[in-house]
Amino acid sequence: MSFLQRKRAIKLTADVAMAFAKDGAKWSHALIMNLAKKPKNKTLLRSILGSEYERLTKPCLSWKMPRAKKILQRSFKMHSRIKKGARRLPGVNAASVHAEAAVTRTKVLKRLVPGGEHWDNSSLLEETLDYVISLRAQVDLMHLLVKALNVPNLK
Amino acid sequence: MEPTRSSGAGSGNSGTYTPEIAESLRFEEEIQSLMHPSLEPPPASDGGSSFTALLGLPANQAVELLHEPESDDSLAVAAAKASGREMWRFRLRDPKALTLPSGCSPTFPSNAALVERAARLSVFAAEDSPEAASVPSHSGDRSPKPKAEPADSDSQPICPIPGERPQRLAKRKEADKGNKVKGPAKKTKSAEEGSAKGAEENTSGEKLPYVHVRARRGQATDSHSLAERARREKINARMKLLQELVPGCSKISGTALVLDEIINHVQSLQRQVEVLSMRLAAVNPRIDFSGLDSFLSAECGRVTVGNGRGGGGMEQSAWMEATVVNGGRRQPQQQQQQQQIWHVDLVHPHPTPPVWERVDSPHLIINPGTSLFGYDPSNSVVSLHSNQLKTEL
Repeated sequence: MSFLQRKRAIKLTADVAMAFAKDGAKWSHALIMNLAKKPKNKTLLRSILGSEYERLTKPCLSWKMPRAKKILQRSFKMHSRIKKGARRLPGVNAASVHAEAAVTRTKVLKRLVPGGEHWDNSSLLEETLDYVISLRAQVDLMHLLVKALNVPNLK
Repeated sequence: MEPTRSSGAGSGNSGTYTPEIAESLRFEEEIQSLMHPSLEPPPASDGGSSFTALLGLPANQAVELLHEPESDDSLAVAAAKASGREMWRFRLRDPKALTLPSGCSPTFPSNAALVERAARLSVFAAEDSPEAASVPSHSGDRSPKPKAEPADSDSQPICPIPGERPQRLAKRKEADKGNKVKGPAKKTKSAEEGSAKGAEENTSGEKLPYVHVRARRGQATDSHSLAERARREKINARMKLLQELVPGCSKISGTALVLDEIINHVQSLQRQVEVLSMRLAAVNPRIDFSGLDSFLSAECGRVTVGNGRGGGGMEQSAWMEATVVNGGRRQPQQQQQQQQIWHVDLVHPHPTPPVWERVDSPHLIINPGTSLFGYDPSNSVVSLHSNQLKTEL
């Protein structure tokens, strides 16, 4: 196996392990689903998850917002955008700039957290909290592994 | 690094909590005398007795409860505990505030800060919902940090939000003068209270059937603005938690910059995972599959079944990866050396489960951050590993 293949396999394993350890969170389910989409990951996923594979990869729509609500939200946003557009003429206010900045950054965060596009703002923040904690745990774990295996540091 | 920073935070917190604990001792005796009949009910029971039962429990039992291996239940339990703690603090008019069970372990204070905040934003444990509801609605307003809170328990926490002042005035008329902490002295809707009592306690901790917010004096009380305000407060509470989690974010004010920092932090963590996985991939694949598969599979099967968790599974699966990777390759290496290597590395599962458990318990303990902050410095574990490697080889 080539170096890159190994690295990919290790990263996959680490991510799956991290997601599996925190099974109550939405992001973990989303992460596993995202990984299961690619065909080359399937065998590894199956071997790692074992019995849980079927349970975790069946699509669960409970935390995704129902379509009707999405349509309503989209129309509401359009409406508010139109309103804001009309009000933007009297100069640039700090509030609108602030709100825009927050919106763009929320979009970026949605891309970072696995599965983040489907959640609303408050659950997004909750899931990022969870995700950050788990990521930190994963990094610490891998640091420990590296130290334990005495991996030579080539620079 | 994490451990040093966390231990500093932990010691700092424990220092500030001790006066509270000393004060609360006398009060605790009173509570315990009341609570002894209710010691039996299990912590996961529903209704209002749970937090009282928890308060009556001695500290070590409470610690054990928190370390129960069910994240959802323990989350509810801790939320119940912390919110119950908050409630008692607000209910009592005297300056004695029961912040923590006395005699708690030193790792607790670093827990309790974030646990309190998590509990404050969690409307999950809605035992006595008017009080518990006032707690999460307070979470957005309250600016004092946990360290300042014990000092402020006698005096009112000063809130810079202008909306709070009319509140305080209203309260002074109603509440008694002893405790100036914001309490249940707010205008409420009777309809809310009616539905509050009907609200079920949620042990899953994921969805909320109802969110009960109190209308503040001088603010609109129609349902739309209330719901909006509840949403905003939820979001603000979670932002505060994130601010505390991400290093260097507590000084920053303003949502956009904080979000910036959070994004940077997440990206850096993800990059670190990539780098570390590359370094792990650089481990020289000297393992020969022959003659060891039975031993290896037995060990792996035992450990993974025993752990059943990601941390242990990760090491095992990483090892399995390595073996599967090199199963095809017959490297001309001495079998004995490999057997030694394997023996050493498979010896690891024995001491490592405690390590993995501790590191892995992010999903066990309510406030996962604490397990990272609280665990023994990795140096000892790492030196143990390297010593084992050296002795075997």
